[in-house]
Amino acid sequence: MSAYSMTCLRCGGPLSDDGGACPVCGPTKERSALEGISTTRTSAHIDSPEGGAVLAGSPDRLGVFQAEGHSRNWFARITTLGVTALFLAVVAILFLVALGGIIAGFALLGHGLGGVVVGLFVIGGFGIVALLIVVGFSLVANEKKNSSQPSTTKQ
Amino acid sequence: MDFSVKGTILPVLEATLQPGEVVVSTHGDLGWMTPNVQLSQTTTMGKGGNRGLMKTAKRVVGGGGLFITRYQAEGGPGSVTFAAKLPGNIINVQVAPDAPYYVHRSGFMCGTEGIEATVALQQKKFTSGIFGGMGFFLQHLQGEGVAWLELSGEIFTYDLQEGETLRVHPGHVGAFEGSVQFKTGTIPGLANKFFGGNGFFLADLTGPGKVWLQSMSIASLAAEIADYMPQQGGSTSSSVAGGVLGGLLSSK
Repeated sequence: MSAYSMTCLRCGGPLSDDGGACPVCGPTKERSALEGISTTRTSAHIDSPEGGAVLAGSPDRLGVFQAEGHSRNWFARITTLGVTALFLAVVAILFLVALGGIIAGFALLGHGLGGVVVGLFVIGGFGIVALLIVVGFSLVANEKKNSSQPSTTKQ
Repeated sequence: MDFSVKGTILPVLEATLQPGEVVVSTHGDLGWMTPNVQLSQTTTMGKGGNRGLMKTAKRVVGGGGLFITRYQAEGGPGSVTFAAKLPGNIINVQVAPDAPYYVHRSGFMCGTEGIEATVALQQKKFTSGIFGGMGFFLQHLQGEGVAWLELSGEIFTYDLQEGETLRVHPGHVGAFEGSVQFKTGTIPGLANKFFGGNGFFLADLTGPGKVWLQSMSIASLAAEIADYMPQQGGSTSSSVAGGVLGGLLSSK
């Protein structure tokens, strides 16, 4: 990693290597470091408050952070549920289109219009079942806490 | 909590978290992490945990996204690594209530919980917003804590004295302290505007305060590689082959 300080715009001397201040003209202002924080160009150490987090709380089943002592973040929760519903709808539609294509092709080739009607009923049935399975799995997955933990591979 | 920048051309930022410690990030820079780091989404930013539709909207407009991702170590020390998206550098700044910072639109990589990212209009003129080369908005970092910034190419810093001005092509402005005045001005002279090849606008950064300039402008990079991108009805390899063939033919 490289970072370079340039020539001072006033005196023409080289700027210091630690952030652009001129050793001759001096820094433009005193910059006081924050308490409990020490930084260099490529590292930083920060003393955290007791417990680690500044804002105590925990994620709920949807993965939305819920801060202690604050009202529920309904905006985030509703947005998450809305996007999830949209995702499920797109999955269901894609599934129906694929299944419909296969069954319609089969019905038109072998069984005529009656086959198409039967095929549509089958498509509808499969679609509903598929949607319910997807929704069910999503709900079960959300029930599990620490859902961000990766699964381990058996040796 | 410890942070360390590693790597050279495409660096990463490694955050080592003690149990309960949190790092926040506004967009997808996550590289890898240990299993005990718990992810959650929130719309709140800053020390008080205050939230509001306007603050969220301002963050979205500023390039920060609707949600903030919190990375919290649970049950033991954990590690999260954020990767730079473009060749460049990762730097840190200490943000304080009396020391805010302005960063280019996708410059904020991650930070401690007390950091609040909102939006700032970088120029008042509508036309300079369109043609200025950096868009309308900058990210405005407020609150208290350490913020890590992602700048493209090499970084060059200047500590400007009061009233001292540097004229910078907008794409090369990486970040600057809140005390620095930012104004978009035009390149003088019609001939310079139309035939200079540097665009119409320059950013005037006036001290006092420190500025971080980046050697690689993302817009310039995109323009440079655009010729080699796949075109409709063709491919990259065919374009390159065509270019080489064309070069050979034209040289004879």
